[in-house]
Amino acid sequence: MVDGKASPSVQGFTLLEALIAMVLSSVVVMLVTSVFVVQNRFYSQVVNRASLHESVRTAAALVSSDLRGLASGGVVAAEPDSVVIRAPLAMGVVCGVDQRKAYVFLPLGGSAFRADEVSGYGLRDAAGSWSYTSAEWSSVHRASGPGPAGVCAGVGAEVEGVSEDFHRLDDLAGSGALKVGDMVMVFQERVLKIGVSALDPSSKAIYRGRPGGTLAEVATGLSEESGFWYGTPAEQGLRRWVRGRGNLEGVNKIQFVAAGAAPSGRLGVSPSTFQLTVTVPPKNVR
Amino acid sequence: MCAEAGGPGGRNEGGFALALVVMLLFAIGAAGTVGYQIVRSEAFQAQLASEASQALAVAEAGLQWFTASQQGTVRDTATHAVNGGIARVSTRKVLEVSPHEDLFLVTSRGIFTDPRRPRMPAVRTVSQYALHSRMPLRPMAALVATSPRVRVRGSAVVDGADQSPVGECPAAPHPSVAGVLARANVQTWGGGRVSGTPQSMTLGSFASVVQAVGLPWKVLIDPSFPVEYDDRWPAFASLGEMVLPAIRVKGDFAPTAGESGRGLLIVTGTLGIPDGSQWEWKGVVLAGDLANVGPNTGFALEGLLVAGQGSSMGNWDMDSGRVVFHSCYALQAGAAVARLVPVSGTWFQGF
Repeated sequence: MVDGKASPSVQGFTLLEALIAMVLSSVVVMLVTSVFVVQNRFYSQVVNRASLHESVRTAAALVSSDLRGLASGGVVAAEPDSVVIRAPLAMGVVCGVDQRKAYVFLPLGGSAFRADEVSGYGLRDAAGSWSYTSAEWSSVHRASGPGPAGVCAGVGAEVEGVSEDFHRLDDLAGSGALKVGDMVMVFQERVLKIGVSALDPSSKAIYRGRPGGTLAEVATGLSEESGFWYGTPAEQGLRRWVRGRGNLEGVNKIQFVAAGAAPSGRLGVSPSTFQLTVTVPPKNVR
Repeated sequence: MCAEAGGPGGRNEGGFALALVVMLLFAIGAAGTVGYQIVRSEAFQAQLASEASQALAVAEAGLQWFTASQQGTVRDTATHAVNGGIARVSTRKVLEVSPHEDLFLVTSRGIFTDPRRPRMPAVRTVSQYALHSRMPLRPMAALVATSPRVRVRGSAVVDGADQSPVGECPAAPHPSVAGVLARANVQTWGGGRVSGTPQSMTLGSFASVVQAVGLPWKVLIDPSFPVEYDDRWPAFASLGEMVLPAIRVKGDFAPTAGESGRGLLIVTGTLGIPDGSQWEWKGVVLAGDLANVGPNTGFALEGLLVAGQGSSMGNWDMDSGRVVFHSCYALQAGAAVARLVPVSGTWFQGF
């Protein structure tokens, strides 16, 4: 009693109420936690798989893009885990010959073209086979623009507005035998190699670059099953290639198996694998 | 009156479960949102890769469509909707290989746009060289027949010297061609005259003659190959003087003076010039077979006559009429069915 009045009645929890509340709360917390854990595991799984798929897809797209334009003799070296190719940067046609000078229409893409990307050039014979010569662009390229365009205009080439696509190339191999109408290619020698990833040493990666130069890691997360397979018209099916076995001139089909594996992760994320196989018949190989 | 905490008539039971649930739901929502964003981003990357592939397929399809459908004069540009994308094809002449052949660079730019991202189209460019032959055949002789024996007799004349005057068409006059090309034997009898450089040629076999001429006979007689006049006859009077149309006659054809005209005439069956016919033609005549020409025709053909490209002919006699080589008429007539032939091994992906 305070001041002679009754104090307000404040009812507390009984022990039973508290116990029931705690049990119910625990059940709710357990349910919510399990939902959260499951959801988190699913999320991790999806992220894992997404990353794996992206790696494999990137590798397959890049390799098939590089292989698609190969011409006959475009495979320099072939091994189960690497291939060295001559990737055409552009193809052109001889429209004038003056002793050791060749005037050539060669659409190099203007400002997009980088001379240091050129590893050499190829010349196509009447039978459609290419012969390749390694050379720096600066060692053969003498001029571009109106001069060479003028020569080519004389044999019917449309030159208006595109004179930068006409070039004078000197001292091409066999220039004595060159004639108007011969096809010319500039190519880049390129390595595609499967090796241990520098970013994730537990997996493999596809590397791309110039032979003898630094190779760039362009797709990670590949597994041991990744590799190159080769086909020739003379043989049924595709096979692994061991250097020195067979004639690379005859390769008319290259298969790239991009296999990836994501290891198991936290929260019981299960391991996953993904494989994409692309078979590329190079378009310029007859 | 008792005042109860927590509002009038209520009781403050101070539970924490609701707060915990709200907090966990928020955490789950946040994690879900992050997960969704990552998956969406990956899906976006996959979509971009897919669009790039689609654009390449569109470019490639555009290139093939253009070269396959090209007929007559080569267009500078063309647009083709294919596989949900658009291929913009452009051509550039890079070389005149011969008076009848030009080399073109055909470039196809494939554009594939996802309607959800109209400002971000995927673009790929492919190119290939293609040879445009303005003549559907090599002009080997004024008269080509796959007969083992051709006899030119009586008043018949075959001449391989070009009748085109200088300047009538590019590269005119053409160097003289042979008078007659046959399989094994060309004879002139009783006043018949064959001239040309050489006078006549024989190549031994049906296949050799067909290969030397290079005429896509099966293509030309295929009903799906489009010609301007298919089994119907043009009103030449209403056509321009310089228009030499392509005409295909299905089956045998026995022309009379009223059917004189000009252009590329394809007779899928046998061309039989009736006795007394004064038929005149300027251009190229291609026939599945030839009936012997009797002694009383006045037919005259300026251009080229090629017969028996589908199957070998029997011996053939020409006892009257005149076949003379005219390169300009042949060229103008052949242009109606001129085709683009891709040069193998020259495909490349552009910048």
